[in-house]
Amino acid sequence: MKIQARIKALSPVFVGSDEKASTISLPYLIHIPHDKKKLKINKEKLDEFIRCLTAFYRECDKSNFGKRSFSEIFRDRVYAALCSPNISQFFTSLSRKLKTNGDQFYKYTVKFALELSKIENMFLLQWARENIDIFVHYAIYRNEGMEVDIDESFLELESDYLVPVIPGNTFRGIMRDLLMGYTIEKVYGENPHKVLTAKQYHTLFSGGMLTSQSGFVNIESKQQLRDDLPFLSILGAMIGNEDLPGKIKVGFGILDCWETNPENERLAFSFLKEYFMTRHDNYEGYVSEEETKEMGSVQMMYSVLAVERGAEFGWMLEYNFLTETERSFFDLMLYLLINRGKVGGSTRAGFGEIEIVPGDYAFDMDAADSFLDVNKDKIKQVLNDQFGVTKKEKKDAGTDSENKKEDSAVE
Amino acid sequence: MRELTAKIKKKIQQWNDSANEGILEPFRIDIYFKIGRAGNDAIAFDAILSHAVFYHVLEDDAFNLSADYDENIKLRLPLAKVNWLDTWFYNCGWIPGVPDKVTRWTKRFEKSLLQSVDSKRVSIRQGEFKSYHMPLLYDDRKHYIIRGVGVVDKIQMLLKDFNWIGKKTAAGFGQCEMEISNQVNKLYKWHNFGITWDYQLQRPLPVNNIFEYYKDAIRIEGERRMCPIHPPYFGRSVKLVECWDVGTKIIYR
Repeated sequence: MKIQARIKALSPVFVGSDEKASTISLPYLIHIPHDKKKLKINKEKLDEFIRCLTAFYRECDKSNFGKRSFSEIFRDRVYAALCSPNISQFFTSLSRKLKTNGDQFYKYTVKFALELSKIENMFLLQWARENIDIFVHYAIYRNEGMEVDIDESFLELESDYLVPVIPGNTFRGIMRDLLMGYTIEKVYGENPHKVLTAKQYHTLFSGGMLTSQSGFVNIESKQQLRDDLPFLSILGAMIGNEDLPGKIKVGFGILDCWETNPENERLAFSFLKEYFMTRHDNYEGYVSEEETKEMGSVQMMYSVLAVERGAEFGWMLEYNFLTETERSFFDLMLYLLINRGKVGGSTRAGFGEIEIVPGDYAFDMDAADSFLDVNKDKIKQVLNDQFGVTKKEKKDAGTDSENKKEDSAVE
Repeated sequence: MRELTAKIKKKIQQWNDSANEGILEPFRIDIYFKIGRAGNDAIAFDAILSHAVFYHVLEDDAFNLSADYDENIKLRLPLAKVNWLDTWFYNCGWIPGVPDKVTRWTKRFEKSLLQSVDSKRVSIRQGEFKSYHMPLLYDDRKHYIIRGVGVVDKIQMLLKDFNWIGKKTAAGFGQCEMEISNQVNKLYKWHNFGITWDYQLQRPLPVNNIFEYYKDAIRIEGERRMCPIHPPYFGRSVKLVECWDVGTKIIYR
């Protein structure tokens, strides 16, 4: 069964890739499959492009940067600015990042940018992204009067479409957290943090990990566990030395743009906007006032490249061989995600608000709720048998000290 | 090795009895990827088909089996078999392993749990709460063509709802669509339809004396590697054979 859904960004969506260019966090980008074209960059235009960058390097205010070498900072800024849909935008973005102070060269760079075709724009930027170090260092050396003849082999490249996406893992992680949180609260009547041990929590909320302990005795015991814990069955987990495979596939949230849908004229990078943010770390409450004065508070400004408000994503989910109860838990999980309406990073700052429209998919969540109401004791029993006794029950039985030992063994 | 239940044995038997019913004919499959397939190795089409057959035959029981049962499960595929000296393989092509793009997959211990763990310290470097931030190679080519010889109707039925190929499919990698057609040039010698095409090997081929025998007529240009050549491709009983790799060129002198 496939579910085709549309996702609309109600606020900027930032899904990070852990990749940073200086203080700019870059989004999760993926190379979209397409029919590859072999291309050759025009040598004169590339030369001109590098000359423009040299002009930026010459005119920027080099004194404003911190302890890192300026060329390193310059490279990062250029790399972040290269996430632009065209060269004109690249120059504008770079000019803002470097605080350039020359108006004379700006006319020249604008003229160069506006004379390029759409395809030339795309592939010059792609060349610069792929050969970022050559691009930046040649621009710097050229400022010192060094001229190099770029080899022909460097001018050849294959087309490449980079697109910001929301990975399936992101959706899967949120859905898992929401479903497990809902289930455990319903069964135990308390927050999962207070009820579960570290091992139980890890298995339910992160999928667990293979260990040397024995897993299942036979096929029936695995099936029995699936019947007893349908909410775990749909997402899967590692039990001992065996895995309990999940039954659902969660696709990528693919941005609707020219690269993925030729009917849309906007390029993927035109959806990316830079959002400026600040952070203030002080030691209030932790150290005395005098010490605070000595240490000083840490202030930080940073920015994120996020997909702008109004962007649309296509999203596909698929499940197979779900029982009626499992299907009901799947519906519940999807409903919880739609209700949460948030995805990605900095959601507390207002980022990542989304609207998910799952087409004409019909939800049926009653079976899941009634299953949890009827089988509370059984679920508790199975969790105890499979993953050890919960904290709450140890506490009730007065053996909480053993639990503490177990947790410290985790260390 | 653990024993299968009678129900599963019966299902396997029923499938194997009817697997090759039908006419064998050359076919062509066009695979269009929406998101690149993850993993850095070539993928055999018979491995994809084995996966489809596995889930088609065993249905929800397929989710409850593990490596221990592998050797008991021998499922026939609706493909033509080729006997190649002392071994055999199915007549079908492979998706070559050419991933050159890299991303990362992450798994971590929930930080929020630190509030409730009494010791306040959890090692995420090792042990069962180990965190991962691992590189993952993937491919960004959109279109692959697989050729082979088999029972087209059956293959069509098996791959009807098959939309995911490769690793990390649960997280969205390898999303694809397949188009199967038997409208291929029948004049072509179909007994090697899935093996060579356009003077290139479509699948790994065991290195043996046959090329030595024709060495005055043909020259082989490519890489050799050890790989299994027929299903099952994973398991303890898998035999590795020295092969010419996918894409090896056959040059006629």
